[in-house]
Amino acid sequence: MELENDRQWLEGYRRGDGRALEHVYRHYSPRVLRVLARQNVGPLDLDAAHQETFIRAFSETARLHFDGLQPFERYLFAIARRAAIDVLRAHGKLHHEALPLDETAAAGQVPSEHDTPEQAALRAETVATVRAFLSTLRDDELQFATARFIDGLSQEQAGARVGWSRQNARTREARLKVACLAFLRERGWSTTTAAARTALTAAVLSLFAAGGV
Amino acid sequence: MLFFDSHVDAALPELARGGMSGRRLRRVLAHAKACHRCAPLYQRAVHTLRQLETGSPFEPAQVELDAIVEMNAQEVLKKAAPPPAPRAWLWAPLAAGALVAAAVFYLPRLHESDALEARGGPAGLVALRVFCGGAGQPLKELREADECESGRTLAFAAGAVAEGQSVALVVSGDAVVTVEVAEPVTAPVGAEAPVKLTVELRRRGSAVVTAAFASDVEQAKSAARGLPAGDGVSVVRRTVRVGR
Repeated sequence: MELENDRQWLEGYRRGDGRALEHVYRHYSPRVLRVLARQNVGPLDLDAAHQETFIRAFSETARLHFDGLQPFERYLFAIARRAAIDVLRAHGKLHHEALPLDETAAAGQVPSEHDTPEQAALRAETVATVRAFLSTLRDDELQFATARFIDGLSQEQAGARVGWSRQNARTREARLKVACLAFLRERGWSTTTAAARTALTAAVLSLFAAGGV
Repeated sequence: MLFFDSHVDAALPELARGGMSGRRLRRVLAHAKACHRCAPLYQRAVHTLRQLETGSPFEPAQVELDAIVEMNAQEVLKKAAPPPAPRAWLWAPLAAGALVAAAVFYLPRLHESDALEARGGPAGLVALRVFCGGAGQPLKELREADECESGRTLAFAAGAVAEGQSVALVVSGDAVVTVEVAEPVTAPVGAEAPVKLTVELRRRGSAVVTAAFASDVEQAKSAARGLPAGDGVSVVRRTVRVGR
């Protein structure tokens, strides 16, 4: 159930009722975080942008400004985008004179599904790292990881596929993630290797060339 | 940066396993943001965990979502809460309650405020906190009677009520090689920020820590060195016993 479809919840939100606001916070937080992460907000700025979004959304002006007709999610995401820009500017990661896309004319129609060159390079690098990590796993672990992370099964279902109990699957998944970090560390995780750096540079250059920049 | 936090690589497995508390994540993030070495490391680890779990470095993993939602909940909801409306009929019992509370807590509080005076500077306008730490061990704040063992390290935090203050710190005594540092004070009293100085305790004896706070850094340095100080300088002095 969304906020705009629940009259009581909506009125509570408009009044600033604590329980209604907490419900909004818990219900919409994961979606807001996903939107922010896709908006070029890095892992180190995500918490600040998320907090700023909800502080703004819970201000009296924002509560009373919501008409209750449009989807609340869209209203909240607009607040999130602006909060993200302000947080990035405040942290010196976005130039103060840079204009947010949604403030330019007809920017709403600009498709933003394609990665920027930096995003594409980062994606290529992490894909390569995870593939290399997966290649070090035993058969049952790989089968579990595939079921869990690629096929999107629950822990229990993914565990059942390889004959692990629910508890066992939970423990193994946690170990798998910790092993992934250990793998990163072994490869020198704080700095990319010379080969990776070269690949990264090549990827960025090819994307620039393809875009005619 | 909170220098008494462990580096980010020590906290990442905890984040990956899930169940990291909001408070713990706040400390880890605060450290990562301020630590030159840790920031790229944290980002790289988070991107990789995201890729593993969600198939995209731009799609937060469930453990990350849970930790951030938990971390920000209190702050967001506290700020959103409207101030309580005053109710006239509550005033009489509230006033009576306040009188009783004052009578009950007056004497114990006197003792507490003495302790704060000792830790802070003149009239509570400035504060200096001294910590004892060692490799792989948690930092412990030193009170007046506490001692720190030789071979360990002293660390400091400072705060001032007034803005634009600088603190000059001189550490001397038979247990240390005399060192001094001066830097702007970035935090208020009650939320003191680390001073970029650590001092190794070389042998048994004592270390005298002198902190001078002033709006002019040169004035603060002079006062910390024991030279005559003008108006507007606050000096806090602590002697740390160094054992074993």
